[in-house]
Amino acid sequence: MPTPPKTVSVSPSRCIGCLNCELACASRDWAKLYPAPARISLVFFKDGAKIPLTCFQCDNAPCLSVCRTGALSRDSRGVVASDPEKCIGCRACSAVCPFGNVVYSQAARAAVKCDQCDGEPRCAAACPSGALRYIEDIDAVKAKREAFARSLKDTAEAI
Amino acid sequence: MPGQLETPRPGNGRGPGAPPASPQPEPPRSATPLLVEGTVNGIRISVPKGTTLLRAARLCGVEIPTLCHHEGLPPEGSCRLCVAEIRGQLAVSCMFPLRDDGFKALTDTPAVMDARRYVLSLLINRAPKAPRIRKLADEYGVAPDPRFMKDPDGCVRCGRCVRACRANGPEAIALAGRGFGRSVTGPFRKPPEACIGCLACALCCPTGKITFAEKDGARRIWDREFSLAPCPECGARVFTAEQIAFYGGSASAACPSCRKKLMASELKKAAAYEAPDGLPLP
Repeated sequence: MPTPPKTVSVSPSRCIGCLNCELACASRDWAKLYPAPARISLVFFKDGAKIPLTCFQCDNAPCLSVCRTGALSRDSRGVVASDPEKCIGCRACSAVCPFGNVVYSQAARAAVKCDQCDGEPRCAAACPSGALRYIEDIDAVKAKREAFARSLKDTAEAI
Repeated sequence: MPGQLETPRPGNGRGPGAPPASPQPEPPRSATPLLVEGTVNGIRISVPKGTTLLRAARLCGVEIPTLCHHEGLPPEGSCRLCVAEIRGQLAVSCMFPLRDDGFKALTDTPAVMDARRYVLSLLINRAPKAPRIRKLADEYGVAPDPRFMKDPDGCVRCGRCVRACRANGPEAIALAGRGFGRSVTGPFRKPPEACIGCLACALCCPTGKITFAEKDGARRIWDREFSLAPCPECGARVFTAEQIAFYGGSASAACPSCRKKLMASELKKAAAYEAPDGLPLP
């Protein structure tokens, strides 16, 4: 792989529920500030929790393995991208995605999914609170490890 | 190249699935990537050997009208709209692989325009109401010719639906018969038993002849009725039971938006243990 794999890292505790990510994603292709066709979506819970969810770019992607026309393909960054020109609308990808992250869009007449905007995800750029960050895989893991170490340190000091 | 996309999926009862075949019409014959250079309407272009003339023209920004061509399906060359002139002859550009250096293709000579107008006059007799064909006919100044008008049913017999069905796996429909009797149908001109109701044929149809209806949790297409499986979480009906079985899914699986919610609630449980990351705000 020529570039280090990057990922849209999600920190749900930082999410403020502003929906900027959905709007930024939807406005990319449809030029409308209307969140329905967004490839990223916030799931709201009754207790106030908000979880932003987008495609995980699975290594062993079920959507990719059922696509028969080459409409879904993995690019050099390891991202599974969709080519609307090649989509025949069989909806197989949508039927097999375990996380509901590939949807068939009537407006686009093709399957749409997150392709990380060719390396410049608009959702991460639009996020005001740092809940979504576009960082290298290794940094995402490192940040989590450091955060956990810090919390252990705090606990140790409290004791 | 028919047969390239015929690998059945698991659940089809015809063996295990295989990785998807590339629908590239003509792979280069040589192991090393070779380029061929030539011109389309005088515009110089260099493309990998075996690239179709249609693709080369589109790369040049030269627009060639097509009906039966689909980027994701093997070419069939049945609508004949994409004719272009190369080596002094007319060729169907979606099926014409460029193999030799110094090709000179022309897409707007009088011969090409005449051929295209003639083809359009035949197509418009098959589908006089299809918006796409009417637009092309207006553009090329073609009117329907009553000599060839016989039962215009809106289908131009381009076979895009058949190729889409074959690519997806069910191979439920095919073109049957000859001449005026030729039509897209299931085996023995009966509602296709292998159909899974995925709607790929309807989406790929360039004239809008293939229609479907969804009513009371059922989908009707090809004179067959499919019951749409209700989502156990929210009751939404998204896929037909046949579709889910064919793609190897579980009949009790939730609909895509509920799957998203289920995943989110899993992540929420994990987020409860998430330590503050201490990073500054962006």
